[in-house]
Amino acid sequence: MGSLKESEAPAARLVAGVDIGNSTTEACIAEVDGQGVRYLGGGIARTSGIKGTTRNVQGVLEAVTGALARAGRPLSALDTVLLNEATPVISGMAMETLTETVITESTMIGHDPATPGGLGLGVGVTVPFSALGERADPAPVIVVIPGDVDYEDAARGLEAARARGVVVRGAMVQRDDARLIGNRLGQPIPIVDEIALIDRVPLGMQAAVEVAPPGHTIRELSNPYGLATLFGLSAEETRLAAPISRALVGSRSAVVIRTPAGDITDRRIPAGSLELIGERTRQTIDVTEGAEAIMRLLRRVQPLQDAVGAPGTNVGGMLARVRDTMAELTGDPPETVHIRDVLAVDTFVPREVRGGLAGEFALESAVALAAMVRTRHGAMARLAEALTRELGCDVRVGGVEADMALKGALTTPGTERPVAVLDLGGGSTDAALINAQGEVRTTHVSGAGDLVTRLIASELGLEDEETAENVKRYPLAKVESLFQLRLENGQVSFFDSPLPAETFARVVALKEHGVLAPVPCRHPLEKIRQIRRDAKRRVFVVNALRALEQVAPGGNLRRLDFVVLLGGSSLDFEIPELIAEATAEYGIVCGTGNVRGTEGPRNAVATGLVAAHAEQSREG
Amino acid sequence: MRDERRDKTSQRPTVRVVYRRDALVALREVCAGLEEEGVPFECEPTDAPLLAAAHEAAARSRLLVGVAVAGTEACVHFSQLAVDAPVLHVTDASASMLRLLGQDAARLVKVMPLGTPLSRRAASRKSLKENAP
Repeated sequence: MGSLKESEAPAARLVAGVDIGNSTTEACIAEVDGQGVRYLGGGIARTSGIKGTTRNVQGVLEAVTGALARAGRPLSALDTVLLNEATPVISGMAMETLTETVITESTMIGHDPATPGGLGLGVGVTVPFSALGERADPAPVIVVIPGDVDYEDAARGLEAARARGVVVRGAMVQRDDARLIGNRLGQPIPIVDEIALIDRVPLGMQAAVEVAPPGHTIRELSNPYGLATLFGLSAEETRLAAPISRALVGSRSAVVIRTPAGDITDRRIPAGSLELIGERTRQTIDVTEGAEAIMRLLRRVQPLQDAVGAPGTNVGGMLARVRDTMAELTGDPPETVHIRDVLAVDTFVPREVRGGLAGEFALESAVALAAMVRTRHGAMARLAEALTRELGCDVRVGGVEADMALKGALTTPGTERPVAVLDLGGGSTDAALINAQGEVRTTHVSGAGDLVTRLIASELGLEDEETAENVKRYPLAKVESLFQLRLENGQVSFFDSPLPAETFARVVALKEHGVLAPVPCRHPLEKIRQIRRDAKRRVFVVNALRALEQVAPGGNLRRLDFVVLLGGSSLDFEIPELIAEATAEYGIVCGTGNVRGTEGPRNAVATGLVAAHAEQSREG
Repeated sequence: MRDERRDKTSQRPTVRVVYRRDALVALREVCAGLEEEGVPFECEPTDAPLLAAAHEAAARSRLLVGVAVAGTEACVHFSQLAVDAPVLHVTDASASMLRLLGQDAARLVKVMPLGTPLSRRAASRKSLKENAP
């Protein structure tokens, strides 16, 4: 100790590289001396607060102490903390439905109860069960049975009415009693049940009830000419009724009631137009033209200086919300917040139909927008000060995030310059390219993991984000019995003790340690899987190609050879393969990074910071 | 003679429902649940304790599902489960709870998600962590 002259061989110093991302903070601990670097360990923590603010201290502490513990060193031994100049972008998103289905005057009950009763098609006038007794009219009737009528009383009442000569053609039931009533009738009639708001069913109106045979779907009510035949509609009336039959396609049972002013409309909400302002040009596009058209236009306008929506329209409100949220986060006035990139994605949202009687859902089309703004610099300096106070050691801010990511990525075995990295994060997707001469180009595009979660949640109609996160992150399985489940690839797993009853016959996400998280929706496994993969493709594949195009020489993807995937979303079980599949078309070698040969796609920036620092101390 | 007939009926694929003689009101609801779901069932009286009776009924069911009803208490059992760990066990059940329990017994056969709320289910569930594949 102290016997060596410092100029010849400085003592090894303990340094920590720290990368603060949108959602996670990563640390890398290493010993640096004149000769080189010895990496000792990495740590990870959830980012506390918005990145680039002093609230990050908590997360940094957690990540650093975690890494130190793994390296077996005390906090007091730490000499220097290296912070990167964080990517000055923050992402936000918004979603807006573009259509709305409205049923006026309760013309249709299109819900699909699990167990309708009877069979066939019946047409008649709606009559309440309580009024059956005094009915003398020979016209055929559809009986409306409220929930307080017991199934045996209902069946007896219907039989008695028939005996008196009333022509009963069908029934609508509030409770889940259709089969029970149907089984007790001498002659079967179609019965649709579970009509929650039965007291709103218009009485004295022409109605049709249809129940399909097992394995079939309804034929007449889902056919506009079937409706026309049943209700004697003119050509014009048939045209107006067409949306009703379309909404009923695929149902096992349905009820349609004809009221004088009844209607079902598929209203398009005026979404408004989006104005994209580039350096040289500004272009306007109607949002209803869809995501693809918006993204095409964006490519023509690039580089984007700002985006605004027409005031008073949905898209105007949407972008204003993003701007306000960003302004709040950064502390800048909203008018100085400029949107520097947008990603538009077509999506759909299941919504309860307004005016429905049985909680019917309709799929409404929607558009999701992820937007990115640049934040002010300078906040890192304040954060560094706060960290110095907290840790009592030297804290340095330096190194552009993309440069550091490239340095870290190049510790992946099998890589050399020129190489491009794609950092798949939570809020944004970042790309950087380093050529053989060491020149770096970088870009950031908006939309990443958080948008995927949002799309999954809305398309599956999931209420909590945790379930959507589970669907995104884990493979699906269907619990097929109390002791076995079938994974989405067809493999079957067996269990020694029974699976929880709440997962029985349900689709579950297969989490770590065999924990099963039920996915509460009515879709089959295949449908959920498809929605999940589509959401990932629409965000990550689109963004990977878009970002790589912006850094590729001449914007030509064919001139890229190697792409290394980094960031939390690169740990996903299928996103890397979806991107690799898409980039293979351009002859690109694309795979998940393995930083330092041990860390996988994590820790690249933190490692890069340490590597850069070591290079500097060697040179200096 | 009677035994012969019973042997014959037990050949049918049915959910076996056993009931205490004082539980006819509850039995009606449970059976209505099974019938609404369209699953065949057979009923017979029993004097055995509830869980054991349900388990024994499940063991004799060709669909491997048994239900036991006593007063406002009812239990759905599956033949391959331990006697003291039934699929569902409700006490103090309302008529609609009993109807739902009957439907769930049927859904167990049809491999469809159960509807009985979690809070009313048997609490004797082990963590899955113990039997990860």
